[in-house]
Amino acid sequence: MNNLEQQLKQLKHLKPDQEFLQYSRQEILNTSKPPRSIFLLKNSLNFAVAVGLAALLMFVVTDGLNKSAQPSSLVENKPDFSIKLEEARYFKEIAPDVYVVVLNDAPENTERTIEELTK
Amino acid sequence: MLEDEYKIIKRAQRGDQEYFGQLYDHYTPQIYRFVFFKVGHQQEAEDLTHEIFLNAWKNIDNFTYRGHPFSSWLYQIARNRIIDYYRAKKDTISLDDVKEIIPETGNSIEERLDIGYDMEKIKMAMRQLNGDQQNVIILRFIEELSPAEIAKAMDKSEGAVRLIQHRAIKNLRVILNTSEESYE
Repeated sequence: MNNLEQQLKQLKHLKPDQEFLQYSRQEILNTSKPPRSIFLLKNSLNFAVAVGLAALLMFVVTDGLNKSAQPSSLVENKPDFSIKLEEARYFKEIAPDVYVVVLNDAPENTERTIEELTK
Repeated sequence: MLEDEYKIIKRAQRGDQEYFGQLYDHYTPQIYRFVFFKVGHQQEAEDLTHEIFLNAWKNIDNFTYRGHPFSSWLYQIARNRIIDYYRAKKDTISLDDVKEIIPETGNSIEERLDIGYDMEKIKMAMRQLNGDQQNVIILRFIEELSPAEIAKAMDKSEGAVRLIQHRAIKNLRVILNTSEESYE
C-alpha cells in the first residue's frame, strides 16, 4: 500500500457486465420519454394559472379597498326613518285612537321620542 | 466529457433515443462504479444504475447546460437514488455478500489476484469512511474528476471538497495501516 492513489486508480478497471449493459440500454431506449411539448404546455399552464390567481387576488384587494373607502353602501343600507315619521303623523291625524293605544303600549321614553319626532 | 456533448444532449432532449444512447454508453461505466462502491453489491449496483439512467432519460428536459459536464447531473441523480436506497433498506449490507470482480487488466493471473486482494482491502476500508468522504474518493481518485466537477455533483463548494478529500485520504491511510498491522 505504498501508493494509495495508484491503488485507487486500479479500481477504474471495474466495468459493468456487458449483458447487463445491452439489456439496460435497450430497456431504457424503448421507454417512451414524456414529449417535450407536454412539458412546455405544463409550464405554460402553470404560468397561466399563476397569472390568473394573481389577477383575481388583485381584483379582490382593489374591490375591497374601493368599498371600504366609499361610505355609500352604509348610506344605502340606512333605515328610512322618514317613512316611520310619516306613519306616526298619519296615525295622529287619521286614527288618534290607534295612536293613543300605541303610545300606552310603548315604554315612557318611546312616547317622548315619538313626540319629538312628530314635532 | 463527450465531444459535442451539448449538441448530443439537445438532440436527446428532442426525444432522439440514439443520442441518449451515446450518453448512456459513455457514462454508464463511471456511474456504475460510483454506485457499486457505494452499495457494495453487483446486482444492486446494476439495478440502481439502470434506474438512474431511466430517470435521466425521462427527465432530460430538466437538464440545463451551465458549462458542467452531463456527468455532474448524473452523479446528482445517483447520489439521491443511493440516499433513497439506504433510507429504504435501513440496514447494512454484509461485506460477505460483496461479490469481488477482479478487473481485466491484461496482467497474469497472479498479478490480477494481487490486484483483486488489494482492491478488496481498499473497498472494505472505503466502506468505513462517511458518505461524503466515499464520494470524494470515488470521484477524485477513481473517476479522476476535477474538484469543480465534484463540487457540482455533490452540491458543495470546491473548498469543502478539498477538505473532505484531505480527511478522506488521511482516514483511509489510517484504516489500511491498521488492517495491515492486524494481518501481521
